[in-house]
Amino acid sequence: MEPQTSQNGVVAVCILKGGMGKSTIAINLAHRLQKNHGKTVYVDVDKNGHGTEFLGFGEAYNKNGQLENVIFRDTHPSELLIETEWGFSVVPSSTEMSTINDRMKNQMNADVILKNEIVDPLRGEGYEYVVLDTPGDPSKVADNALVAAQSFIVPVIPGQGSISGLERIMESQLLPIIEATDGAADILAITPNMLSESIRPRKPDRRLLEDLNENWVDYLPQYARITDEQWEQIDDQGRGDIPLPGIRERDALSDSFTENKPVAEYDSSCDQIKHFDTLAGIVAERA
Amino acid sequence: MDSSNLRNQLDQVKEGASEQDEADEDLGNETETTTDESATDSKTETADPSETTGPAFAAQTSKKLSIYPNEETARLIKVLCNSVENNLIALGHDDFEVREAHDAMVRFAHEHPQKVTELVLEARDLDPDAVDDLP
Repeated sequence: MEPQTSQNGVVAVCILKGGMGKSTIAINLAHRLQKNHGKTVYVDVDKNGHGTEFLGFGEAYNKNGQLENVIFRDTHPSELLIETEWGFSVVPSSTEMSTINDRMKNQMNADVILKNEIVDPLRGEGYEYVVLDTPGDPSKVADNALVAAQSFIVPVIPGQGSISGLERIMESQLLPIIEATDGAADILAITPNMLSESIRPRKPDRRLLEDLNENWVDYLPQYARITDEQWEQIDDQGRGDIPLPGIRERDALSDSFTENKPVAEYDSSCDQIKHFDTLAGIVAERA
Repeated sequence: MDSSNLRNQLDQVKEGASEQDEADEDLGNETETTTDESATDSKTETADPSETTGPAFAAQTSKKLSIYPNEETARLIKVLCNSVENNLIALGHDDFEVREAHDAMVRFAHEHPQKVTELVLEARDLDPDAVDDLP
């Protein structure tokens, strides 16, 4: 059955573990949504502010008071918006995020503050898509982001602990929201990220892809799907014309952040851009 | 997907997932040791051939460095990588990663400091044979 999502154009890139490339996915997803589908804002609610720093807005990250005024007073979130040369807008993270998290706990309706104070007002300003870059640890801000989004993209990388991070966020955060909304909230995609090696047996990339294809294939974007027949072909005759699954590690992806740009603005020939287009298409259709 | 199905699906995979993490942990340890040159050698001699396929070390254990070659020399890195990739393909390995060539270049140069010195002298239009006079 095709899931019925809340269709509000808001998506959270989330997993309860750091280093999974959430910001890479979120920023490039925002860029492709803006490019292909409509007016988009990237909202960084990760207290580390990596996404904000990546995009070159470190100064905004260190500015005090503004975000707190939006969340706890009546300042409109458009005051926080940074217009970028790449089309999409940015709401930067802030060094105040930890304080904000603590203050949220004492508020009425503590889980819908971000939705009421940032996400809904921005949608009222004509943003069709809101991409939330969420914290990698459990927090009130993370709960808020997931409740506001109700559509989730979960990145996982090869290697230790990745699958258990996926399992953790599903059990502790995503499933409760999905069940509470009777399936209106949903996981749009579980995407492998930072693949870097061959997909031969016993390699970490292979383990991850086998696990995802075996257990979570309904949530895998087409670019990460490998059938049993294809595995057999890969092992017997080599990969041949079966494309390497994405999203793969590329110099252009890491270097684009040194240059403070989404990857397609840094190197339009990067072969992974099409995967961000796929994710953007999924969000446009279902978020 | 229906939310109750998702709950069941999660319950089903949980046991398998924890097994995978343990397996990845074992593999992570193996990957770390293979970055040590002697470990790589002994592994090549004794391991089952199927275990030696694929890059010798994971991207996660590689280190990104800036190097500063002359502009024209920098172009040669790509040329060299292409040659190595072609050689590996000819030997039946279609899974070359650029980091492997970078790693080999550093190890190669490390084993030949005298030759590197010669090339530095040569680039300065000095006599490369002067290295023979080194104590």
